[in-house]
Amino acid sequence: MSDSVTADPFTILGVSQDAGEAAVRARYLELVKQNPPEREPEKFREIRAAYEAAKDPLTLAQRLLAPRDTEAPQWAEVLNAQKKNPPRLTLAFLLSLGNRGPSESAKEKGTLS
Amino acid sequence: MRQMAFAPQTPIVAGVNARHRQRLAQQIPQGWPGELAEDVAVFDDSALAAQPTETALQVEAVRDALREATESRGDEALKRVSTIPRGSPLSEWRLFVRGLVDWLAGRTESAGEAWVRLDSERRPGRIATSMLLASNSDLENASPTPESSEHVPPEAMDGARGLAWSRFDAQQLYHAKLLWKQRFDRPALRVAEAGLKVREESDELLLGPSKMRWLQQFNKEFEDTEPDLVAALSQAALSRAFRQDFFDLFDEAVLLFPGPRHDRRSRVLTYLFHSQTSNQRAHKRAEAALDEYLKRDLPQNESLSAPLRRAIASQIHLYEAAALMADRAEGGIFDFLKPPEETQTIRKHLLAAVQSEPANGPAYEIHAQWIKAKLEIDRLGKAERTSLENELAEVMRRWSQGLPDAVEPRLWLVEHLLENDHLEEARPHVEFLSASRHDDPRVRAMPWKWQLLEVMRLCRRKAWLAEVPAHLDEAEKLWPVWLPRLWLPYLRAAWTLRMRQMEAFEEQRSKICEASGRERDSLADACMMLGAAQQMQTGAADLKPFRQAVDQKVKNLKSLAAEDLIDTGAFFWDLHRAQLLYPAYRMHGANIGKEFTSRLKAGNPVRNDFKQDERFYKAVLWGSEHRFWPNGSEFPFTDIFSASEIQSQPLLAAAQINALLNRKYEWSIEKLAPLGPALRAAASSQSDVFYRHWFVKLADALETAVTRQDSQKSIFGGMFGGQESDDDVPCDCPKCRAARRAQQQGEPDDILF
Repeated sequence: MSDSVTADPFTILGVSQDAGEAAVRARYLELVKQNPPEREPEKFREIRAAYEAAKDPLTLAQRLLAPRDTEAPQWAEVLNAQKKNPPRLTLAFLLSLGNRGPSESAKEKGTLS
Repeated sequence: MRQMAFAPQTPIVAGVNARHRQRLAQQIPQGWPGELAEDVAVFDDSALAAQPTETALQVEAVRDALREATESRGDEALKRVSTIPRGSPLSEWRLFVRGLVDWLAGRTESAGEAWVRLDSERRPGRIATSMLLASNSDLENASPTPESSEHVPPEAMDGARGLAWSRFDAQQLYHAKLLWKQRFDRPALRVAEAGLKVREESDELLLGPSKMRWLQQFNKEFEDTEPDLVAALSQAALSRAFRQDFFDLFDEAVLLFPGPRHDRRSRVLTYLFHSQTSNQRAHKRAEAALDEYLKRDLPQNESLSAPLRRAIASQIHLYEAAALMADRAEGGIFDFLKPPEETQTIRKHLLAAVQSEPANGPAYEIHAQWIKAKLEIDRLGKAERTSLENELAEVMRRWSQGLPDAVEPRLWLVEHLLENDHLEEARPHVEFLSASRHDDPRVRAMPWKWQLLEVMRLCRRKAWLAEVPAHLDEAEKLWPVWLPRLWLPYLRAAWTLRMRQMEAFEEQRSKICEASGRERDSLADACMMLGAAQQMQTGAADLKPFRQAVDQKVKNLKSLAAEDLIDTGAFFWDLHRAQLLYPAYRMHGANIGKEFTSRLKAGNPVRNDFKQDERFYKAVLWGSEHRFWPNGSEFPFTDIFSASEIQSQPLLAAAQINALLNRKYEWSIEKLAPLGPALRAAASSQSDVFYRHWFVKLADALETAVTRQDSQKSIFGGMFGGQESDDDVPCDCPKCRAARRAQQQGEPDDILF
């Protein structure tokens, strides 16, 4: 068994331990794009093995059930992590940014307080 | 975060985020008179329904792409729109998605390059303009009137962003500001930072009542606009409440904060929290929480896939069983004071684990190990032994059905079924193993083993004895290269005895000693003969002299030559790795092992004299099999071999890992973890194919055991502080955490001992 299999697949993929199946797949595709097999065969094999392990329901279940930290999480660390994670744009909000509605005094001036 | 002096937690003003929330809620895509129908169809189902099929398909692709992009699956998004032809009115969306993927990834310049070609009068172009504007923080001075272009920030003068600044209207500016506030400004972060800085009521607390209430208000205020932040803070709050020993605060936290996706009501956490105490009432609450989770919450949790739900249930049952086993595995001197092992509950959980997820290999493995350990108890009655053997067979059957590619259960089943005359049931396993291209040499040796087991089965009846030589010849042809043939002539001799050909037997015995140079009735010779005779079903009367020969030697072990001991140990190791140990071995194996060990421990020349002898290392490997060591004691490696000896000789490293893995209690197994990679690296240079495979398998098993131990420690309390008393709650201030880290780093680096 190679190191790629024995090392933590979630660390190799760079996703959080409780990442959902879709997030794991998205990250895998991204990494594969960055490390195509013809250019980075070793790295590709490592990523592939990690993905296979990470998408295994039993591995996911272990990760979800196992507490990740031995110490209480620090508020500052949680906030720092969240600073890098802006709220997701909803489809409705995104598409509404193109609205050209009837004039409203506030919108006419572009004010937002 | 800097700790401030204790001050009352300032309550969040209700509605502080209300206007922003309201504005976001009002943001619904609305078409304008004369807007292109294809663009409207992207958000309006009735407009979509009016589109011809080909266009409708393209609109669906745009919708999917936008969803993929906003959920951080950029590649998938680009793939979705790649089928839209350039001549299609929807090709603007294709370009928009390209820029959107870049913009969401923080590559604003690239986004602008894609968006610069968009029609500024259509929806994709208008959205792009707002998004590019939003990337600037100096929106306050921006104005849609021509004279205000003086306020264009210098960084926005060039390229697409400059273009955006040159063509926006009031509504686009409004949208840009809204987007900037939502995505870049994020006032919730500032509110959280200020509120969380405030110290708890007491230094003992990781999450006090005031902060809990403050967080509740915060969540209420920001859950619509910052759902991920609210979820992360809720998780952290639960985690902090879990790590302190206050029942009331924990219960309150569970009520106030939603748990993670797989456990929204924090039932598993509640179970873990309450099961770590000796309080009966808390235990009942723990059981009830787990029951609720497994019976209601988990089956109804549609946010998890069905396989994941099954896997979670399976793992919980397995952890439950392992925790109950661990309760009995302390190995302390007060073990006798403990209540009896909850065997029925352990069985119930192990069965539930594989019923929930039949592919849960470790569940079978742990169940099988648990039964095997029980079978090692010498005082076991016949009925109890039979019952355990049947249970083990059932586990192995389920294992081979749940994981058809697993080799271990099939290897075990072949022997068990042949021993019990279930030839037809054994055959498919033999065929599977023979046909599989497996790197385990024991699997490849299956045809040989089958012949040998068949020989032993045929010896049961006189009528079948004539068939034995043919099978022995076949076994000889198939004899694995990694296994010495020392035992074969003994098996042939045993057959002559079974046939009552006494002269032939004597002749064969003489030949054996002559060829091997081994003295007749030396310990090794006596054991080989007894083992062969017993496996070939020799009657009790004929077996008696062989038993006596062994017993005689065992009585005088102290005066035995070291070479004879080593020779015997090496033979036992070969039998062990071929899984052919004879029943009477149980009667004398432990005594011989103890004598071998004491000679090594006493600094006897044994080690030096036989350092170059392969049999010596085989004997040590045999010594690493704990099963003959009574009361869970072990082969004392650390007293005999130095760390450098073990590191430089892979066979010794393998023996030490094997000893620890076989031990009843896996104490300090993590200390051996560094030996795993070394053994794995040594595997490829071994000339013995058995060791080439076995070293890798041992290294894997060591890693699994270390991971399992870590995981069980985490889940069942060791690392949560749940076993600590109120007075022992570790201080969580930065200074104390730094001191603990320094202490950990300062631990002796002699990883082996």
